[in-house]
Amino acid sequence: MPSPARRRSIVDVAVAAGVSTATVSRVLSGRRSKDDDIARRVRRAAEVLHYTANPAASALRAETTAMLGLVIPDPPDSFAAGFVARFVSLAAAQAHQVLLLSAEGLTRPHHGGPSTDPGAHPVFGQAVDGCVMVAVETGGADARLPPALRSTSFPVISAGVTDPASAPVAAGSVGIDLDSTLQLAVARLVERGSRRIALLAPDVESLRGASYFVGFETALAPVHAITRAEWMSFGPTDAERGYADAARMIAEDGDRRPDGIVCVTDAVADGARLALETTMTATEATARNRPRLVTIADRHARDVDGNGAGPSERLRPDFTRMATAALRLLSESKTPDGSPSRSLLPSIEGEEERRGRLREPTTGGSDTSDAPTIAVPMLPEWTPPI
Amino acid sequence: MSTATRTVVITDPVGIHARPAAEFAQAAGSSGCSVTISKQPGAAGVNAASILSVMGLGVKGGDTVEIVVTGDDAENAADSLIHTLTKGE
Repeated sequence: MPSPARRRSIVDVAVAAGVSTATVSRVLSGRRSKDDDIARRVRRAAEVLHYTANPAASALRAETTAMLGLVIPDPPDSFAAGFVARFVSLAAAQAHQVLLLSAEGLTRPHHGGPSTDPGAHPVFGQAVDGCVMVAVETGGADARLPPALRSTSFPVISAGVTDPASAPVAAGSVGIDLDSTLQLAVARLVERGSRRIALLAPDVESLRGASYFVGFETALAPVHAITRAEWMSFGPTDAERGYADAARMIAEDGDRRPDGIVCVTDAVADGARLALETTMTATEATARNRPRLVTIADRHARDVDGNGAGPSERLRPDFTRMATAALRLLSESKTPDGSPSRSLLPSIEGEEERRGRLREPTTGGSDTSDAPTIAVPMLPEWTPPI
Repeated sequence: MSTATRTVVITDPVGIHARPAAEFAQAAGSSGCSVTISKQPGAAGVNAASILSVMGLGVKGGDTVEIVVTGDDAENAADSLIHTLTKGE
């Protein structure tokens, strides 16, 4: 019998569970997805013996680094802040550490050399098994991969875009399913009695703004809702703009006034809510006449509630599913030089995700028309009005 | 323009890890104020809007951190940021 002071090994767990060491390795690394009696016996034995795999040793044996890169805008925008938190904890659950890097840092000159040397950034080399680049919220042309990520020995994917065509050139991308998000938002308003629906969208000049326009129009017809040209506004995603546009719309009478408004971002919704509270007269502002709001949120719920912003009718990014999908894509993606991914992440069953391929090849790197995209629906977060 | 200073003891046993650092940096960046955070009161602070700077401090459970907020409505911004830093604990 081993002495209590000795560190337990994989052999001890295998003996206790009555299986081979290879089976113990597969179960505890997550590479064996079946949750049967064998898996339960192995996990139980590992728990009783206080055995945990040594990620560094596992990585050495598997010729991996057990390290993933996560490139974020720093200061982080609201999407990046939410994504980082979930990605780091999900990667840790799969025995991977995360190397956080600022997007700006990747484009700065380093060691006196030019910043455009492909794959030459000293932080990388062979240091990571894969890398996720969190795209900036606006997407579009500024979401291109930095040169340091264009020719690497590990797969690079992007996360956070709402339009696959605006994804950075990468082996794959995980984004928000904007069409289903708009359908959910419109359906929620219709369920609550609205029919004349307005949209306060982001800047129409951005690809994201155009996607909102198409997705919103498509979402209306199936639920017999209508809109008007003057009810679809595009502009900055701040409270001032939300206030101005909502005040303009509710100054109209009768059928010229919307009875439901879809707001993009919490700031726009805060402005619109303030307009409803301050510009409608007491008689007008009855529950029946007051337009209802649904927010396509960009913050965590508790931030909004903590600021006393009132009842929530929100859809928020599902960071858990997006981070899960990003990890899965990393394990499935090929490196830019065509070799298979080095990351040994277990495959995770996806549900309800919309998988596709980039519709158009984007410029600035290799042809990525085959790059897989995963679009994740947002999470409804409905709370009753106070 | 005013300056507000707050100190708080981090009670989360794992300190300011990725999630609180990300949320704090995002809140600091969107506060409209200039915000620094330091691990020892009185010490030179780092840019609180940078997640990498905040995580680079290596704040552990039990450490006292100081935030210094400069800008319009610094008092309210400081209270809100302290709330962000402590709410998940």
